[in-house]
Amino acid sequence: METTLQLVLAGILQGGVYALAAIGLSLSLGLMGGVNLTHGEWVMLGALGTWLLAKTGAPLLLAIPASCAAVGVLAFMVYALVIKRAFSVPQDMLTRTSLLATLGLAFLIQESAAFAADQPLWSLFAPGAVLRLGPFRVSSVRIVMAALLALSCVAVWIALNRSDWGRAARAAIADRGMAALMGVPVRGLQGVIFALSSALAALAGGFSVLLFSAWPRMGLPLAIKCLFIVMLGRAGSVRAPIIGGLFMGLTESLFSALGDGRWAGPASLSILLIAVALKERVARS
Amino acid sequence: MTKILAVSAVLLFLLTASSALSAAPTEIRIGATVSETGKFATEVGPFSRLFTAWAELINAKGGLRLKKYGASVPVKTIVYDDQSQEAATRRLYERLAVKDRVDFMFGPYSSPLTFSASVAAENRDIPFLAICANSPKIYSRGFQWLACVIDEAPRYTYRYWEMVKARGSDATVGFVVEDTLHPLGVYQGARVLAREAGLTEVSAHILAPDTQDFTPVLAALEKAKPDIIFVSANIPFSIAFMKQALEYGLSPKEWHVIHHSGVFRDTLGAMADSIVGQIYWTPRAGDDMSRFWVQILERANVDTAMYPWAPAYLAAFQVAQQAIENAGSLDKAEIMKSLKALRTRTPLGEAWFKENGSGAVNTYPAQIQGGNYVIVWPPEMADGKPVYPAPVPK
Amino acid sequence: MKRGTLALSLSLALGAALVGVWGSEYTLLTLFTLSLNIVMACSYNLFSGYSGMINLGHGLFFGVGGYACAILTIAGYPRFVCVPAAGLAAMAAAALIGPFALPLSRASFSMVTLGIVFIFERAAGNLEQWTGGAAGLSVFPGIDAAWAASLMGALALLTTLGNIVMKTSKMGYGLIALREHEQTALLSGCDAFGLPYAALLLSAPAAGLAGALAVLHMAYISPSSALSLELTLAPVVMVMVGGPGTFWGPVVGAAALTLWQEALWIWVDRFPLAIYGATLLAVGVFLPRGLAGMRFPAFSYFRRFRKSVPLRRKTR
Repeated sequence: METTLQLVLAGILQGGVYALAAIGLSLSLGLMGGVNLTHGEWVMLGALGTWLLAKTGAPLLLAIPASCAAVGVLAFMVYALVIKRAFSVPQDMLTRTSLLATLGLAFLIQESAAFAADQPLWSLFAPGAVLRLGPFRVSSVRIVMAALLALSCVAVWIALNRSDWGRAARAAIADRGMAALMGVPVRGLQGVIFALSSALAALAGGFSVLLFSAWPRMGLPLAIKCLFIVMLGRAGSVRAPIIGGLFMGLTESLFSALGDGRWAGPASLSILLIAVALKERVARS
Repeated sequence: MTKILAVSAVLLFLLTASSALSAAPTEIRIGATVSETGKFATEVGPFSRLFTAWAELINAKGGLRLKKYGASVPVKTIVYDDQSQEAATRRLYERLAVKDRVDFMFGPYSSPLTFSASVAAENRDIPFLAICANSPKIYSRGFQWLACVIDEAPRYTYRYWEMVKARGSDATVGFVVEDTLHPLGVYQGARVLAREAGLTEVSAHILAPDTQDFTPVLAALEKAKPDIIFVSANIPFSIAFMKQALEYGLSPKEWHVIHHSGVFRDTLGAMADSIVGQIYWTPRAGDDMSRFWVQILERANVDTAMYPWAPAYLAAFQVAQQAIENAGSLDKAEIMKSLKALRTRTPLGEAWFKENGSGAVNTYPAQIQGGNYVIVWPPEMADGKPVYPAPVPK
Repeated sequence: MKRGTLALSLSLALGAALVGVWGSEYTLLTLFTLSLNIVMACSYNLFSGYSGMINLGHGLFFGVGGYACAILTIAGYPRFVCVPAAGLAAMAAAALIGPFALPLSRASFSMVTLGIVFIFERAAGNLEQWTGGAAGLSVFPGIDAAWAASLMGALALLTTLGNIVMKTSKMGYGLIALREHEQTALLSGCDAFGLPYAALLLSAPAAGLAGALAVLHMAYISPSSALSLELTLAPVVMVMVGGPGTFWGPVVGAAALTLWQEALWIWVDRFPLAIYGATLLAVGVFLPRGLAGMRFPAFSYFRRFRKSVPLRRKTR
């Protein structure tokens, strides 16, 4: 019983990492449409930035936000130079253009990182106290992560629902053309959201390098995992990636403990796919 | 008539003599692929520099000595990037065989890639020396043109269990295994070796490679309290596991993490001390060959702490050099024969080949002490004494 | 089919046969890889190009076919049984995933089919008794380069012709109609599930056969050699580079990317993948109609073939 609760707790915390990585993707895809395979690269760059800054002695509380800010700025520049052009094509060509462009960009970014970093693998260890909440043991780093995730979600929600800019963004997600006609600066908003979503991804990357490890070519499988999570809901919603991420973390955690851990991945993915199919069937009827 | 005969005889003699003399090849072509991109790049990414550095240093001394021609012939290495993919590896080895016409091949990194690469060599009768490919399945196909420097995976840690048996103060062991080819193979051998050393396996967990949370495993290990916790995994998994295990506060008498190289040690810092793992060699100038290896590593700018597979490649270079020089010519069958029959001392220990082609070179248990890797067994190779039992952290 | 297209196809076949007989071993190998990519791109296009749904799981058919062939070969069955069986196995896989995946929205369809490939890849790695696990299966000695190149070349020709036939067939028109304007197509009597399902079933066997031939040529199969992410995405990228909505697109895209990759990884010393990424980016942004849609004089020659294909429908 204790173990199951422990697993659920671990799964929720793990799902939080996925959710953090996927929220930004959901928003930016909702605004821009198409496919964004560069999302994993921002996670990787966030991890690299955090690792580099920590190596030079900066405390983590400084390294992680600084790295996120740097990634956000870089993402904005990439948007202005490349992404904007790639995504401003007619709707029927958007999937193709966005897939090719973001895939090519992802290759470029990961090879540049591999060249720039003098080490093939990056990892940090800040042994936090393992807190005991009753019968459970939880790493304090993960608690901080969960708190940050909750904060980010609340912040995003407040920004989307309580501010003028948020209303403009929601309008643009709902109907891009109409919002543009009403005077919403859709292009600029897309750039800002793209940069912010990349910064959020970098935050997840910073925690990745702290909890596990990171390497230059980790981006593409991550981007695909995030796309899986976003798929569970409408692109553009904030709820969907959170629920999707939690769902994925939970199923992975529970399956890894029930019997053979080797089937955790395929089993949780199967459940995810069945959930998607059911969701669509329900939505249609 | 006699004049014609004499002239023909002289011409014939000149022809054969000139063909024998001019038969000395201009270079020895050696081919290989290295995973410069793709999933194996973290393990061997910069290794094409090792090939280049070795060739340059060998050629500075004139090259390899071929008795048949009475001359030293320079070495030319042709190395491609196989992108860590089987199809690309196969195509590139075919290219090495057919277009580049190599005389000798080194294998790619990892068993799956070596599986397909060795087929090209077997089909074209070219000597193929595998380096980092220790899955027993590769050597059960009855190939004639295949040999491997290192031993098969199940024997990877046998020296460690020798040390444990000699010590005699451990009774139980718990295994944490990553579900990937190499760690699984090592584990399957280690559990048998542990049993033969007199230990009881009280806990065994095989986990998916991308496992994020190890709490259930840690809880089980805490309950079972094995004397030795043996982690058979690649580095990312080992790092993730050890971070959580150290935070959790597990403290067995000894930690054994088979791959505990540079990044592992640097990440855990002081908490990595007293963890035992397996390495091939520590750079220590001892004999001439070790000094030569240090030269190659410096020239190639490869650090064995970050890239612990480098010594296996260096041993492969030495073995290849001796096999070719023993054969004395570039006749491929001769080279293969001399390779199979070779028995030589390398800085990693004695290298020889079994009937099925797999080798005898194996890793040594090495403990991290004060940030350095100290080989602790066997006594004739040891750099120092092991710290046992591991001090309880904090 | 117009005489011109037939003549072109026959001369290509003759050219391939000549290369097969007189070409060097390495030419045969390049031909094999080129044909393999053409087969995968064209069979992928047979479903995705006409229905508009991006089947990211096309690599599943390749993997299923490869494993079926490997398992049957090791079990002792002769080649002429194993290879067609691979095609049938791939078709069976398509039959199974069709009803599950086709009713979904476009985005979900793509992700679900990709998810199925991942699941199958992990399963293949776990089920050691059947698939040899992560170490894979050895089917040495396999087939030699000449056989492999000829068979794969023939398959490439077949799939290209299949694309041409599909373009002018009733099924093709129905699929395009469903893709462009679903409501009108439904009112005209197009079967919204049956047509895409049939196209999916037709796209699978060629990929399965390609998987079987690849396994016999490499004499080895493992989850990473048959079902990796790169292999799965390759036909999608090739068709997108070549040009969506054309039947030359897949061939041109496959050929261009195969030769370009070969050139980059053999002749370029540094950063081949970065340059490759840059080319994908450039093609995506600057060539919206793909390579086959570029306005070159040579290409307009082929476009004339397309335009002149008659709209002759068999009257009932």
